Amino acid sequence: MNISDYRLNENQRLAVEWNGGPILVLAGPGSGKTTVLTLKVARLLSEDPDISVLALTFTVKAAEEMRERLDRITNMSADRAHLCTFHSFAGDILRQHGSHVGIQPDFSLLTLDDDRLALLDIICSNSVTIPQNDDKPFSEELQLLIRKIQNQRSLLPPDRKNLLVLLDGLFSESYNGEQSVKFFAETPTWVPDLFRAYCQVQQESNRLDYGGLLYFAKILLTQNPGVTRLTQFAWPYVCVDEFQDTNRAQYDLLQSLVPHDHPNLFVVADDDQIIYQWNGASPERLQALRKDYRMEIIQLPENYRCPAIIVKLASNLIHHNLTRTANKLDLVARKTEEIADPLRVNEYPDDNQEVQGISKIIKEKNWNPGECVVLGRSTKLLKKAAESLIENGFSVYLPQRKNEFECPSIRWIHAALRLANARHDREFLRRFCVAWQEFTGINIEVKDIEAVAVLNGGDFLRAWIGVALEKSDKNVIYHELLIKLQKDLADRLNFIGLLEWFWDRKWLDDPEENEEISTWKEIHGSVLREHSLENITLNLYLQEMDLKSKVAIRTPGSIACFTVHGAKGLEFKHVFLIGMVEDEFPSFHAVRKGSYSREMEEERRSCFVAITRVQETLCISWAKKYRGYSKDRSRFLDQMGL
Amino acid sequence: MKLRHLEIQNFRGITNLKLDMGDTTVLIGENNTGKTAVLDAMRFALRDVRSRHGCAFDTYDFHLSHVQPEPTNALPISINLTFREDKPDEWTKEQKTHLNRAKILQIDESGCASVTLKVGACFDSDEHDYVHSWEFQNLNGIALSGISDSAINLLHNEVSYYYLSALRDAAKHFDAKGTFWRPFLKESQLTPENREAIEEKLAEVNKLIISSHESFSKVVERLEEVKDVISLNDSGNLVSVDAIPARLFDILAKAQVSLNSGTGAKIPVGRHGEGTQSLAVLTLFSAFLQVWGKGVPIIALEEPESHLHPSAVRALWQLIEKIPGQKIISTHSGDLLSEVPSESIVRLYRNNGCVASKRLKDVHLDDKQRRQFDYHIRQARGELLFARCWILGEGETEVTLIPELARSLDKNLEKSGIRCIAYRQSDISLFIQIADAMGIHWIAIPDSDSQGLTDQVKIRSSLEGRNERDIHFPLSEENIEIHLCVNGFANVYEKFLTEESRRKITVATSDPEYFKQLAKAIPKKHKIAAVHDVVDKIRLGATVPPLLENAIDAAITWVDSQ
Repeated sequence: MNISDYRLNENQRLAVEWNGGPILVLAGPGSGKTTVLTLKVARLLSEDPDISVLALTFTVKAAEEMRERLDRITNMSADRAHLCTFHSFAGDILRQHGSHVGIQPDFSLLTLDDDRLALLDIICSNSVTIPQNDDKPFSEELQLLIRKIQNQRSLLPPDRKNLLVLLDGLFSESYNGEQSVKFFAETPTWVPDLFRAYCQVQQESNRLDYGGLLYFAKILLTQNPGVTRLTQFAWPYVCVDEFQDTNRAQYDLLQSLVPHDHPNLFVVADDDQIIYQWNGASPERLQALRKDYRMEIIQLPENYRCPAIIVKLASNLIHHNLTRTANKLDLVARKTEEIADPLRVNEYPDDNQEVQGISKIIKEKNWNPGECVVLGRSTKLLKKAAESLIENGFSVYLPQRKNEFECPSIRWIHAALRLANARHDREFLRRFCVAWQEFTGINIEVKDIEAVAVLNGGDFLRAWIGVALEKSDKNVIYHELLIKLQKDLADRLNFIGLLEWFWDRKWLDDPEENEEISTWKEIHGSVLREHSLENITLNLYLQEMDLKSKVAIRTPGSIACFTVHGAKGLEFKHVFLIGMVEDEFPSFHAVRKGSYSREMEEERRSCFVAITRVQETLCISWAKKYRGYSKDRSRFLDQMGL
Repeated sequence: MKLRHLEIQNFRGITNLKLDMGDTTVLIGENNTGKTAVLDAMRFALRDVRSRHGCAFDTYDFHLSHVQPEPTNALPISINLTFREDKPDEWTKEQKTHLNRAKILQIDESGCASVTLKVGACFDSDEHDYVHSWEFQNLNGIALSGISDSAINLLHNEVSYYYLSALRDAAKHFDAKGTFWRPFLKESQLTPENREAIEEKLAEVNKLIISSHESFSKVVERLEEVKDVISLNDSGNLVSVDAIPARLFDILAKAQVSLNSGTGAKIPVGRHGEGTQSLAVLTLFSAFLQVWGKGVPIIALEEPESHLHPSAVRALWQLIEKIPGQKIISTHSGDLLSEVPSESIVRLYRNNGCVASKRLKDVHLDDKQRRQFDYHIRQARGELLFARCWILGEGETEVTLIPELARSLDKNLEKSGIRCIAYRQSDISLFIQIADAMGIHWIAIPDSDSQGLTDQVKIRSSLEGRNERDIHFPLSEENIEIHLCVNGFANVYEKFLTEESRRKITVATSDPEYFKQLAKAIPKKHKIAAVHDVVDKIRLGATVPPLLENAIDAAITWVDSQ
């Protein structure tokens, strides 16, 4: 590889060639940061055949994109570069070394709130007897904690979902069960016990949620210097992408990976693009990073993406934020091609006309719908825009956060795999029965299966197939399906074969079925690229599936409707930013907190991220009325200089 | 990386065997106790099983018992190897980096790194074929997941395992294709200038030979006519006759190792006797590892003593010691054992039909006992450690007498693996301790004099659940001579009396004290001669003393029961 083959500006080249210790690259939007990061990794790998690099990214998608680019540049066996998210890295080291903290390699990952609530039920149950773990009793330590929590039950908030939110907050702050928690004025006494019990029950049932994944990885690395050293040996160079959005738990993990005395740390971040404050990200973390590792800074203010006028708007806007890095350079517009009419600013009488306006402009300009995106602060308005676009004959891509499949047939086959992986698990059996009823309308009772299973060593899957075959003997299709399930899943674990067979057929008259099969195939492909077909066990497959979002893939030619968070890291030719009014963007919550609040600054950064997605045209719009209520135009418009 | 623990299940004759491995492990045991199986199991795990597919094992590698004589329903083979650091940072940083990146490295609380590989095989009823499989495990023996295909190759590279079987044909090993010989023939060790110079010289020699043999030019002329029939690139020298190979690699490939024979003539190594061949191959192997080996290889040697003269066997150990790496050696030679450090000896034996192992290292001997063991057993009679059962008698009389008695009773102690030992040279507890520790059965025939009575106490305290009647046969008299006199051989001993010694006997022949006085009166130097006479009388039909017959029967019954 030869760096001069790539057209880099002076700052980019400095960053790629940097050898002077830990370095923080403050990269503005459209400044080519992914290129810089990829070239940096490629340079390290090609210079020394003994070097290996760990690159941590914020999303699975970002990791895959970087992998692709890196393979193109280096075309060498890339096992010396590990590109993954914080969570998947935590999963890796727990699979290998987790036994030191009581986590076995076949742990399952809890992605559903229902599953996490089931764990909470164990520790907050009303019953006098403590529920049993699957095959062995819970430890005395945990039983003691559970009893303590039971004694304080009257103090616990009744809504368990709120407890989950609290636990997520504690995990993201890297809480350790201390007596006081920073986001409480006065920490309720039950908080430490609840947290400890929740971690303990995860460990003893060998099931982890996302928070637990980082928590146990952190415990492993901080309490076992041997494992830490090995991990540092294996990954002596660490790069982090989008550092600005890491929370405390992720930062703690990073700190145990990178020794403070001789760090080989390369971090890319932009303090103007922090948009995950609600998830524990904060401007202070970037300060802490600079201080902890005494990092030098290289700035990449050059913007190659947006037309000059947009760069100006973005600069104007972000200047209103006070908690920025000192001496942060202004963005410099470096886009070479001239764009005609890069900016449109429209005011509409009401929200209906505002969303209608999108279709009108696209048709008038004859833009390719696949190159357009609608951005909004909240999903509510985006849905309205999507409906209007569909009415006007466009196809629309409106991804929604989705951790599980929704079509009954797909849910059922996924549930089957989970049960096959844990054949004595009552909860998986219950969900499997529910899915079957939703899929076929045939009701099979959990307790019947439990009774039958006693006869074959507690294998719920086998027992269920037996009962299901009896109940559906008249239906040829289900009969064939069940026989296939028996052969490929109960008798032997040919789950790949089963899936491919299942996907080739049509089971329900539901457009979602097809859509979710394509999504699954996409995830399937990426899991198999990561671990070859030979290596993939059902357990690992399910763990990887759980780590990946089930959001449908975008069909070509559709107009994307994204929230600002969903558009993070992406770019589009034509951007429609809608709903630019007070209480919408900035949000009601931020407005209430005041002009100089952290929340308002985060909203401003979100708006900065939104307008810097633009490659050619930005259409900003607002309406005087939303859902019948009058609204004022957003303060951000003034702050941009519009 | 050293192999520290090996577990084998359902592989050939082995149902369940666990072995801790030192830097050197010498496996001893009778035929069919699994020595070769142990070496082969390692070969499967460290060399033959490479892919996820297929099956490196064949039908007869499965453990076939009379309960499950069909390989198709035999229990799955499992071979489990643990490599472990003895102290933190014994392995290099690079090694640990590679292993950890492959996600197979483990580390224990004391900071020592380890890798555990499990290789298995079973019959897959769906595929109707045998399939092998492998996995890496964590410290709790649970399979690690997300391991890439190349992980096992990575381990094979880091470990480098070499196996040298008992069949060592020098002609094959010193061939240009032989694994250990080939690297020495590499042309690339020469500089290009040197090579050119040598090849020039070769051309000159060729020219000289060809020109002195006129007949060659005729051949060349005839062959040149070929180009009239088929078209060839005619760039001058179409045909050449080389008396010696013209190019260096041809010469190197034909390099031949010759050893001086007794007559002083140089004879190719492949034409020497088998012992010399075997030794030559071992030496080559050692040279190969010293020059080309990397890291700490694992060396498996099968019966290095084969075809060697006993005194050559004793010298062999010095050669083996020089071979670098961790060594696992199987042997049938007591002579070799005499040179082997006692802590590396592992004895394999059959216990109720199962192969089991015992290490000499686990016997707690103090310095004095260790010296006595080395002196009396290991160095002098290493073959004793191969026995199945020891008959412990007080002195030389018993050791001479008992095998002869057995022979006259038509019983073959050698065939049953029973050896007689005189324990008086040391202490009976030492022999009992060693026997128990090595899984060797023992039967004791102690005297009943004052020393004998203390021995009997020691025997009784070492029963460990065994029935005293089956293993303890104390003489009813003070010593064996009196016992023989009492049991009808008094006349033999009376023949050895002289005028002078007869005077020591003060009682009448009918007195119970008579035999005692008789035995005592015989000078020590005649004791063995007397035993030979006793044996002769028994051959002629005299009755074997019942106590001794019982002891012999007890030993044989035990061996047969195994």
